[in-house]
Amino acid sequence: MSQVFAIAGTTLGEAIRRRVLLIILMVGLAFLIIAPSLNQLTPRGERMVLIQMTLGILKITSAILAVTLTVYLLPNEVERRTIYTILSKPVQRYQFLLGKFLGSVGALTLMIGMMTLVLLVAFVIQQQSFDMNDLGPIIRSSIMLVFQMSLLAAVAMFFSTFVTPVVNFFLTGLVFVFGTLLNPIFESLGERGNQPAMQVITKIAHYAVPNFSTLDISTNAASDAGARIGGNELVYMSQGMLYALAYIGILLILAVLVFDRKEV
Amino acid sequence: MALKRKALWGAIAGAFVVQAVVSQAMYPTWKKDYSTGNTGIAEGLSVDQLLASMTGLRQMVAGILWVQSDTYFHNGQFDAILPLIRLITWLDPRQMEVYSTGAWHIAYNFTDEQNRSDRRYIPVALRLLEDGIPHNVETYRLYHEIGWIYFHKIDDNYPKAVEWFEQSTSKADVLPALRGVLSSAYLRNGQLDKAVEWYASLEADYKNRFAISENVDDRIQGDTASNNLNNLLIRMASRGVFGQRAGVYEEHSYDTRNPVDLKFTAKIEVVQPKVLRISGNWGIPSAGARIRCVIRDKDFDIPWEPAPSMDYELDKDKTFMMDLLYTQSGKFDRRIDLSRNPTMYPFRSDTVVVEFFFGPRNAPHHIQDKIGWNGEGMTDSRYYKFDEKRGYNALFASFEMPRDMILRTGEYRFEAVIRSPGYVEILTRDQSDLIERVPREPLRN
Repeated sequence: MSQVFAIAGTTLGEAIRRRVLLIILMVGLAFLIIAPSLNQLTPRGERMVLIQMTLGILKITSAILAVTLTVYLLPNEVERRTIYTILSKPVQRYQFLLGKFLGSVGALTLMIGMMTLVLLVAFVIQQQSFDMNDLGPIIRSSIMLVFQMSLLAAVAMFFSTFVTPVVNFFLTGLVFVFGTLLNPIFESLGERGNQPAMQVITKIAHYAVPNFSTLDISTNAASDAGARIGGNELVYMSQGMLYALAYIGILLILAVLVFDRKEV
Repeated sequence: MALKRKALWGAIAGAFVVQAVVSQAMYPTWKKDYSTGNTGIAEGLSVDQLLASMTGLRQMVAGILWVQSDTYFHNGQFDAILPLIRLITWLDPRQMEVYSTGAWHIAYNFTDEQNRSDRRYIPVALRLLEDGIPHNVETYRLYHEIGWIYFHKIDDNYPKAVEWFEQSTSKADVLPALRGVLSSAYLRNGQLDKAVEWYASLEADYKNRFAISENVDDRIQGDTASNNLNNLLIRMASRGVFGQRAGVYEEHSYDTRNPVDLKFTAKIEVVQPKVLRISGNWGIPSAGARIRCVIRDKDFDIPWEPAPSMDYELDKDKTFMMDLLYTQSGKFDRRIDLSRNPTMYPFRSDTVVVEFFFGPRNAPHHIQDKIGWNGEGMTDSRYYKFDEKRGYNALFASFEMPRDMILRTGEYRFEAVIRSPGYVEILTRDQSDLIERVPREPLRN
């Protein structure tokens, strides 16, 4: 296990040093800071817009970070030939993959944590109050965002074992968009639709495709109902974490199976 | 190695089952608490808006579109607003502001050149509000808005107003000042005892609250409920409600006992194509009461309640105009210009109906003191009847005119006038919307 953590630590360090990730992070932070000034664009209550908008920025920035961070993890190692040095040591391939994945998740958690902190500070300054009823839903949404993005990183990691980074970027993006719309699509076509074939397809997709919409609880953070559901939300979050971990497990094992037979 | 791979495939199968079970277990909660609600095809969104909406900025996109719809409203591009509002509510179905303000725009602010709202849109406004209810069940706002349209704008379907206000006042977040409107709706619906009960319950509720909180707002609300209750009981007594119940109504000189003869007459003159001058006399001398005037296609009457299958489309070939005629000194006179809004008043039907209606339920209090809540204090030899649908006595006069007449074509090119029997010409200021007032002597120092 120490090998896994060693690789994870190195990956985390590399991620922090990568300029492109820092630039994306800075852009995200800048948007979070200027977001309150866009409030006048909407007729809705200021608080709700601020939460929804900043959580949206957080989500987009995190998704870009997750994909950019993960799609290059394996190809870079192969291109720079450092993978040969690592695999020549007493390190199994699955340990290498797992270490890389945990490193990228660690970096993502750090970056999402930083952005959440900025978001909370901006929110408290803008609202001029420190109310945990307002801040709680934001923190809970951010926690679920870590799991959501870890799942996205696992998707990118799986694809990176057999496709090029550019193809991986688009494939992962496609899975993310589809996974984000999965529940709404299922709701409209699988439940209410009148085409049996479409219902079957959406039902299968609902079981099989990584479901990012299930892990997104930001809708409630931005509504008055957010404060009301309280206890139920913790149960829902626990289920979501279990779901994300199960799916991440599937993707990592698949990645290991593919990577095990890959000639490097 | 083969064994290890088999174990991994087994682990994948196990994890797949776990995620599928958990995902399906989570779905009902997601649908209840986290779904944005509306699903469908986001037609009308530009690519950037679609991307933004998919990636979690739905409310922001909705906000931008809402500002855009406001611009359309101020430019008078009403047709462009409806699809936009549908799109906004698709993006952000929990945004109550769009439902309530959007419905208000649709029901009240799509107006003609003389500021008469286009009543054909009222069912559309109600449909919009009803569509918002499933996404905003726990708050009073949309229930109240629907009730208010029935109560104030339609002003002719009080059972529905009561139904919706009962729901809005049952919500925990209803504003204190809005609770009393349920009693007003009960009164217009003829449910006097219910109105008394509701005022009494509000009075008791706010007095109890004040005893605990000593909050001045509770005191004010309690006093308001007390005043309303007292006024209502006095009106019930003076209008003979208690007398009727005690069987002594005929023994006392209640104002409602000696019905005023309205002697309603009207003259409908088409002065120019689609421009009417409507004047007449009636027996209510004091100002305040208004006569409802409807000009519509004979084959088109608006069913206010939106049908379940109703979409947001409007039949632009139909004509329906409603106006309230101001009366003073027993006279009314109004110039109604429908020529400047051809899309609102296309007049495609062969026959046009002009209707006059006056009911007691929405009359002001000082008029109601004379005519009663059920119209028992008024009569008319020609146009007075018991309205079975509404459940009270009302004045109702209807006149038909051919399409040629309102367009001043064919045989109506030179004159187009309808006079009701007994009509006596009234003096009016030429081309004015107002009744001629007798000039006063100038004040002298």
